[in-house]
Amino acid sequence: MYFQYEWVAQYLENAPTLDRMMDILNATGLETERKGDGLEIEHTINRPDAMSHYGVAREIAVKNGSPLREPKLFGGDIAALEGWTISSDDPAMCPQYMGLLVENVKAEPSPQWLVDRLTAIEQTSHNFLVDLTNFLLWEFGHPSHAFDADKLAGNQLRVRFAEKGETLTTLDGNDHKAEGYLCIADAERPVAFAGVMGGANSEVDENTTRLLLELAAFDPVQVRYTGRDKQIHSDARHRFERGIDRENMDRIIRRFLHLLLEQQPDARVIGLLDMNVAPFERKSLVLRRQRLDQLLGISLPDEQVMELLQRMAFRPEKIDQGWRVLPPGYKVDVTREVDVIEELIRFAGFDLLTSELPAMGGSSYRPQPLLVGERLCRGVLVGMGLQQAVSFSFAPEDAEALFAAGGEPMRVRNPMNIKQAVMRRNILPTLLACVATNAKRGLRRQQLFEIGHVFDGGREPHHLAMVLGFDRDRASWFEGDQQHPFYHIKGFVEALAERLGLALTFRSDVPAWLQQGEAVSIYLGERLIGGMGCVSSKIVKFYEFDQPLVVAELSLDFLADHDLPLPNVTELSDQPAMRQDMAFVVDRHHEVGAIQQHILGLNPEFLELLELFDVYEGKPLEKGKKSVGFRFHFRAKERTLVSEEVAKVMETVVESVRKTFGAVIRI
Amino acid sequence: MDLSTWNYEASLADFNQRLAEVSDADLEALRLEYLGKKNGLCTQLVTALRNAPRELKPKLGKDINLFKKHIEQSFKARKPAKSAQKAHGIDLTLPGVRPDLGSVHPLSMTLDAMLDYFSRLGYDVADGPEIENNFYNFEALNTPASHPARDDADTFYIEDPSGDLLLRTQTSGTQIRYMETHQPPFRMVAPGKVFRRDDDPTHSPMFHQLEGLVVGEGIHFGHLKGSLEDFARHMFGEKANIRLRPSYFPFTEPSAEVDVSCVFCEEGCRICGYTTWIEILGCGMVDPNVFKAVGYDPEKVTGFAWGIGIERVAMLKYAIPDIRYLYQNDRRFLDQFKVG
Repeated sequence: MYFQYEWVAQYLENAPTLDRMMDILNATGLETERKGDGLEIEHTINRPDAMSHYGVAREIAVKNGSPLREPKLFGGDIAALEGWTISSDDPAMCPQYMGLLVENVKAEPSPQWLVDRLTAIEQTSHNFLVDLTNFLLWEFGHPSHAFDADKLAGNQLRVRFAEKGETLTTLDGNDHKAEGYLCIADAERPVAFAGVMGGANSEVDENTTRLLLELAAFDPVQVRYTGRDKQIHSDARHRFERGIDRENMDRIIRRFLHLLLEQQPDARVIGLLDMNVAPFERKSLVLRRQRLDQLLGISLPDEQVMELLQRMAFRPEKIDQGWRVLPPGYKVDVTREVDVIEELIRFAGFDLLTSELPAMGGSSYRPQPLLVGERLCRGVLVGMGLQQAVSFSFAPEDAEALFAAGGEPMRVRNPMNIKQAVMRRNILPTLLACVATNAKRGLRRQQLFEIGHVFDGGREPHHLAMVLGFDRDRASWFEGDQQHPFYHIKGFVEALAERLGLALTFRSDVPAWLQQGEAVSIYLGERLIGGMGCVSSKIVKFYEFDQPLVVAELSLDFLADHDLPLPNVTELSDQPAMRQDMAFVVDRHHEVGAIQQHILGLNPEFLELLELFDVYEGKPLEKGKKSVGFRFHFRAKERTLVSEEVAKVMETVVESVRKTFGAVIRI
Repeated sequence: MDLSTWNYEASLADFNQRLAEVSDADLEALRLEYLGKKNGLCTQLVTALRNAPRELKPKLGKDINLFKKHIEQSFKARKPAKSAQKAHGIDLTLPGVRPDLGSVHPLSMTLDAMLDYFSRLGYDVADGPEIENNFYNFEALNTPASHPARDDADTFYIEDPSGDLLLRTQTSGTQIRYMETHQPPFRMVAPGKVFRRDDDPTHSPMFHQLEGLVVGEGIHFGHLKGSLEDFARHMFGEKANIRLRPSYFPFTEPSAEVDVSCVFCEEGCRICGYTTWIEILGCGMVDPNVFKAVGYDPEKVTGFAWGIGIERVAMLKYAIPDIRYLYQNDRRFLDQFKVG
């Protein structure tokens, strides 16, 4: 919000320079930047009191302890307005409504001083009558409205909710259905949205001679509700939403008359109707010395507190406990003791406070297994060369659906764009979008992972997703590895499982987002926790991948009640090991995993480690056969094995593998 | 062969010289001269050893054995080269076969530095849901229905019949949940993703926050100031100073914005907007209404709370020019965090 320096300065005795003004305002919590010959202030929501030139000046006056120069007011008598009625259906919606009727006015061009003021703050000049209301808004921060009294039916105004079928064309030319919104109505129809914008039907124009000025108080919530639904962002709405100064209304009426009569001495003031169904009273608050010290940690001297409260116009009175105060009408956000404390320290300055660390015994830290586990996963994956990614929690609907097993995602009611329409149930939809973008930029080789929340009904499981993108065309001499990408992703998952102490099992039936035959489902016990391998051809097509790519995604929720493994060292045998290599030739449909499990299942005596060292198909083997080579490591705990012992064990193993898989020993 | 004139050292030196000088073409001839089965020098030496004086035999035998081994090894190493490369062993300038370096995302790096600091001080770390309801995101945090922060313009809402669900706009909801299940005194921080309808080079509709909360008897504003000062020095260096400016948050009172002295300059620069201060976080004393919402007695316990944007710190620390870099996961961007 922009304020003209000169305009602010006119309310101050010995006004500070512009730069000094800026510093003072920043120190009191009004975030201010210098802009040209003025101040650009970004108000926090609780500061309607400083959304006017007078209000800004007042802030400076309080901080500096200097007096304000009050604007000139109309000093004559104002008659009560006869022959009109003003009413409010609900005092909570409109506690006070002042209607001032003036005749013989002219909607002529504004005098130069007024045009200059408005132009300085980037407001357009319309005509004198409208400009005056605008000037008052920027002088005191309380919006008023000028009706052409001849356009109001039945000499009456009623603040009510609009009824079915009623409409209103606002001053900006837009048509609105008015039903259910708080309006000002004459005897026949709505003539304004209360606190938001006036109607075109009662607008002041060049023929206006009788003016009815509205100065009222409206319920901030209703104002916000109307403005939000009707998408009207008016200066009036902005102020009514935050609160206006009920104590200043008489003064604004008199200020209006002063300015009007100065320009148009022939204008006739007919009268003022002040409908005030809930008169404003200052709220009495007690500020306890003990509470003040408790919150601030310092003890401001009595005299300083008293002086600040006086400067702030809180009408302080010293009592035993501390002070009794009556905050002024413009301090709409001061309704509790703590608000008074905030005002005090705001003007006293935070520099007065001490700087210390709280002395608290013991630690509050209790490691959360899920968070600790996630950080461990991250460390393991980074250690293995993967790069951590962070992508959006919201996803485009089509991409998100590709990874879900039916059902509906949670939808964002007001997304910023269609790519952020639903909440992801898996990480891959958004992570793969990044991978695809990378690939299009020529960065095909990627090893990414992401850990984060996903959204599934009311639950938020924590997931881990990994993506390996390969660049088989890469013109680099050390890319010699031509294994199927599946084995690479499997390797990462297996290594992670080892580190986490997980006994994962893999099954070949996979959900639709994975490619049958080139992917597996991941189980922890009987619990399905994810999948890994190649994505379905539909997904490949969707993201336009043209490179080998494998993924994994698994839920990490098990970490919440999973005990991470601790090293448990067994005694090391210093006896020599014996090694025996053995290659079995079997039909190629036999899975290596099955053979390996079978051998381990035999629990061969002295076997310390079974390593797979070779899987081979091709000449000189028969077609349809493959050779599976294992290296057996044997060791006895307390003595040296003799070759006969090992031979005996091997014989049993070979015999069993031969029987079960029809294996032949390859020599 | 006369062993009395044979000398190990001289013979070896002679061989080494000849091997170094011999061309690939003559290599085989040289090999035969030394290692030929019938008339090679080594064979002759072994034969001669039989007739050597008994007392010299052990030493001579050892020498001859060593000599032969050396020659064998030398020929093994020096096979006729098929290419220049092999003739000179390996090309030591080729890049090594190396495992990949992984990288931690800059947001995690930044957050870790903060979490490590706070957990060492004894702060608990709590996680909470990103989809919240009105109570935890607003009402319990003293944000009345009339507060403009609840406008659609700022908050993402979830389509659901109750109309009560939204994407949390701050991690403070986690603090409410924490207070519902813990009793003071305690210190805690809540990290996580938050969402606001905002999208430009410095604002993202999704971003990360860390919020802190300390509650106990006798906690006052000076503790807040001291805690943040220490934290700022941890994050930005021992010289860092902080400055508090009055501000407003619905859930704290009094509230303040905290600026940290610019880490890039002393006289003002582009990054600090030529003010020497950088706005870094918001804080305040917990509003009594928040304590009431969770059943604490605000007369008995007091507390302070603060919230910091992780993106902002990461962008400052690593000179990241556009917030969107953080979510695009461009490999060229991530590669830059293999260090750090």
